[in-house]
Amino acid sequence: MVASEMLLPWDLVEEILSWVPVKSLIRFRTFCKRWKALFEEKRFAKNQLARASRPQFILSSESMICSVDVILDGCPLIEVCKVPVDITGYRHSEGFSVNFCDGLLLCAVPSQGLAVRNPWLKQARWINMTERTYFNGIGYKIFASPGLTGKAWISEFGSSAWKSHELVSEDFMFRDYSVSLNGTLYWIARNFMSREYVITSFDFSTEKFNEIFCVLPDKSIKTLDSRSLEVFRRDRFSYLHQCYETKNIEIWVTKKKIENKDGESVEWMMFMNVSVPYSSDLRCMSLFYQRSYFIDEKTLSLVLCCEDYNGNICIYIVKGQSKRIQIEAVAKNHCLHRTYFPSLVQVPSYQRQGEEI
Amino acid sequence: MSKSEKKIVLKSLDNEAFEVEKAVALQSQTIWVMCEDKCVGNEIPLENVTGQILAKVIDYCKKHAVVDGDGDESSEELKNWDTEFTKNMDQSTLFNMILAANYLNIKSLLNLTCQAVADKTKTIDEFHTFLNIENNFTPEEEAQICQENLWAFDD
Repeated sequence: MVASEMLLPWDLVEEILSWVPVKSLIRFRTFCKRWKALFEEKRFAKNQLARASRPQFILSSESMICSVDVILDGCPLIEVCKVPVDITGYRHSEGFSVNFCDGLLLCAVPSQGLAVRNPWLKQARWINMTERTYFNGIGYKIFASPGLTGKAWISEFGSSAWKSHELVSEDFMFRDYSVSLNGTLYWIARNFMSREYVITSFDFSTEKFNEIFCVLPDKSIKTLDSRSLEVFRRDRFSYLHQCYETKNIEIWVTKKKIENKDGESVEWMMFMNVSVPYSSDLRCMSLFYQRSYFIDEKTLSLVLCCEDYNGNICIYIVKGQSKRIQIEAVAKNHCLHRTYFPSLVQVPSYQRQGEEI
Repeated sequence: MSKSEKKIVLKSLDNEAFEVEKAVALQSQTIWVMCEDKCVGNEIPLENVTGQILAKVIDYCKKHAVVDGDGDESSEELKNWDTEFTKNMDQSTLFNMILAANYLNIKSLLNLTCQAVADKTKTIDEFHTFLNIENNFTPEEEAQICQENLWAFDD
């Protein structure tokens, strides 16, 4: 039978399309009206996001945004896609933090506030913020915090009012990244008194902080070591720890999926131990260098994005023999990057071209 | 349970009969419901699936009946098996597998086969030929949408 003679029912066409990467779907919008309308549906965007095979890195500098897809089948290679920044009513500028939450990017920009963006849909929305914030997240609400103090604010979409929250005790220091899982934000925090690092959480539905959601797997309390939390297999944590002295990297993952209410039962297991040779640029990674990473589910490789000694953004792939690929498209300057999933998720209360923003 | 109750016979559209373990067949929600209702005997007629496709579906169910529920290591092995399973299927086989998985209501097989089609189809034209859908934009509309999304078209 020739395939073209067969007509699949619409719900099965929809099933197939939900497995197609966002970049292709953007092209497919020209295909027919029904497809274009489908891609704008919330339910479809949610399915598509849940099914994406692997994360990408979003790189953002003053002049450009690009998305980097790391293809790990066979010999690893990268595909860089420049995403447009010419959005009506939106001036792109360099931020000081970028976070990813439920399909959307949240960027903190000095003196301008927070920008909720979906670069793939050319959508952006500004949220005024008087104070500088480092880490932030989106549930059905927005969460922002300056990071170094115990303060945080919560706002609803479409509202300009911020509700102030006291974040646990003043003994805690927060980092600039949060990860989002089932409507809860998690991030690494440090208790000044005990000097211990823990994972703290904020549940959007109850607006409750949990000072110690769970402990980290290693007992190292060295301040200069670098630590990053990420989501592994969509429902677990992975944790990267690089020792400042030896530069060696340890990756830990949780054994089971993370349940919002139950931090005590979190069990960690060592996933990968990377000894970094003296010749490697990875030695330059320190507390002050930003790094984004993910564990590829299929090949179980570590994929790491960070700036090298010369300020170039590089992708390191570690599995057996490590490989380094430099991204040519990004100029040698400071650039923010973050692990994320491209999506078709619409920015809430997004105002279309011509309307007041 | 006697030996005969553990087995079940699936009969394809072209009258091919397959005797399988009940645990294997019950991964299909459709067959599960049929058995629960006791509206069928030990032989279940599947009017929408050919013998050639049913044989493949049974292979899949056999593999997944054995491994499901085990630890993480075997789930890795299962993933590899799944990849190999769809790797060499042509488009029309995959389509028939999708239709069968949908009819038999085997969610994981439906996901696997839909993903395989999505992976193998890269361009609009490829989708165009096999999904048999007409472009109903006017040339002006199409040009406008293309213009807006020009950046997504260069590689």
